[in-house]
Amino acid sequence: MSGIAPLVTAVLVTTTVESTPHLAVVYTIEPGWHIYWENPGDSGMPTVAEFSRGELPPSSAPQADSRGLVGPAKYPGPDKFVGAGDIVNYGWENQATLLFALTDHAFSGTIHTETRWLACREDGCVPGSASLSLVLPSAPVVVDTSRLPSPLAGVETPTSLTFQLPDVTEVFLDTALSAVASKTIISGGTVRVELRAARPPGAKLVAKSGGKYYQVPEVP
Amino acid sequence: MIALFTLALTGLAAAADVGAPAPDFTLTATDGSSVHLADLKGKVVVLEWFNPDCPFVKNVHDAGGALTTLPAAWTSKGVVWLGINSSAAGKQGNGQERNAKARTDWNLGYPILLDESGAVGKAYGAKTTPHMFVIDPVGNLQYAGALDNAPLGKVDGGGAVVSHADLAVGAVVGGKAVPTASTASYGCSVKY
Repeated sequence: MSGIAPLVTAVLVTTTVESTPHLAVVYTIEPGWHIYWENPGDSGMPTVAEFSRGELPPSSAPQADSRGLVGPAKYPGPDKFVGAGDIVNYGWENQATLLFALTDHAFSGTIHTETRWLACREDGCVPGSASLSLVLPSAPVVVDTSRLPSPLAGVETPTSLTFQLPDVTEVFLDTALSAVASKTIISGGTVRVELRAARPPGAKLVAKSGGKYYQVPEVP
Repeated sequence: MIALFTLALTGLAAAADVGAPAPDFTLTATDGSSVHLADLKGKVVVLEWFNPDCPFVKNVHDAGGALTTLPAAWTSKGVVWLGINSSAAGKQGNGQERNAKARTDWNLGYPILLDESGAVGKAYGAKTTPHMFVIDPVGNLQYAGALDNAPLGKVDGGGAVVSHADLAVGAVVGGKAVPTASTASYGCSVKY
C-alpha cells in the first residue's frame, strides 16, 4: 500500500452539462488502482456521494435538509476488470467524475458532500472517504463527460423491460458495457431492467439466478 | 413475460446451486486439524469466506463488527461455523501463520480452513470476502450471498441493517424456508 500520498483524492466542483448546472465529484486515482461503478460486479463497493445543505456532514446532521437539492448520481460508463478466478468488476482507473444535477437552482451558501469509495488492485483493497464543501454560487469547471450515458435526457425517462425469473441476484450486459447503465428492481421473481441509454448493437442482457446465468432475449 | 433460455457462457465459473447438494470438501485448518464436510451431516453448517487482510473482513471482525458475536451465538446452538481462506500462495492473506494470528487477534472460536488451491472456493463460486454459505443438515446449500446489506457497516441509502446470513441460519435451524436464499455478496475479491 502506498505510504503518504492518498490512493484517491476527491474534489467537489460545479460544472455545466447540456446547459444545466451540475455538481461534480472528481476522483483522481493512483495508477494501477481502480474504484467502482454503481454496479461493482462480483466484488467491490459502489462509489457513492451524499449531499446536504450547510457545513455539517449528513451523518452527523440528521436534520440536514437535502431534499430537492440534487438529482440522482450520473455515473460514467465503466471499464471491465477480470481478475484471478474469473472475478468480474466494473469501475474506473485514473480519473472518474460523478455528476449530480443541481435541482435547487436558486441555492446559495455552503453545500456539503460525504463520499465513499473502495480502491482496489489485484493484491488488495483500501476503503476511502472524503468530506467536501463548496460555497455556491461557484464558477463552473469543465469536467470530462465523455463517458456519460448518452443522451443524458434518457436518465430521466429510462426505457425498461420486464421479465420473470426467481431469485435473480444480478442483471448485466455482457458486452459494450461502457455505453449503457442498467438498474434492476426485483420483487417476487419479477425483474425490471431500466436502460439509461440505447443498448449498443450486439449487447446482450444476462441475468444471474441461483448460480446460473440466463440470457434475456432481445426485445423490440 | 419474456421467455428465457439457459446459455452456456464461456468464462463464467460454475457455482454451487442453492437447493442442491453443497460441494463436499476436506480441508486443513490453521491448527492442523482436518475438516470433512460430509462428516458434518445432521448439522447446520455455515461457511464464511475469509481473508484477514481484507478491509471488509476486518470491519466485521474488529471490535463492534457484525461477526464478533454472531458465530458464537449460533455455534452455542449446535451450528458449525467454518472460515475458509482461498488466497493463493503469495497473495494477500495467505498462509497458516497469518490466519492462525488472525484467529488469535480476533478471538475466533471456529476454525479457519486453508484452501490455497482455490478448488473449494471455485466449487462454491465464492467471489468475495466475506461471502456466506449456509448448508442444511441434509447437506444441501440453502443460502449463498452477502453477510448483510451493510458493506463496511453502512447501509447504502440509509435504513436498517438486514443480516441476510443470520436470517438464513435462523430459518434453516428452524426447518423453515430461507426468506432470501440468494443475494449478491460484497467485499474484496477472493485472492485466487
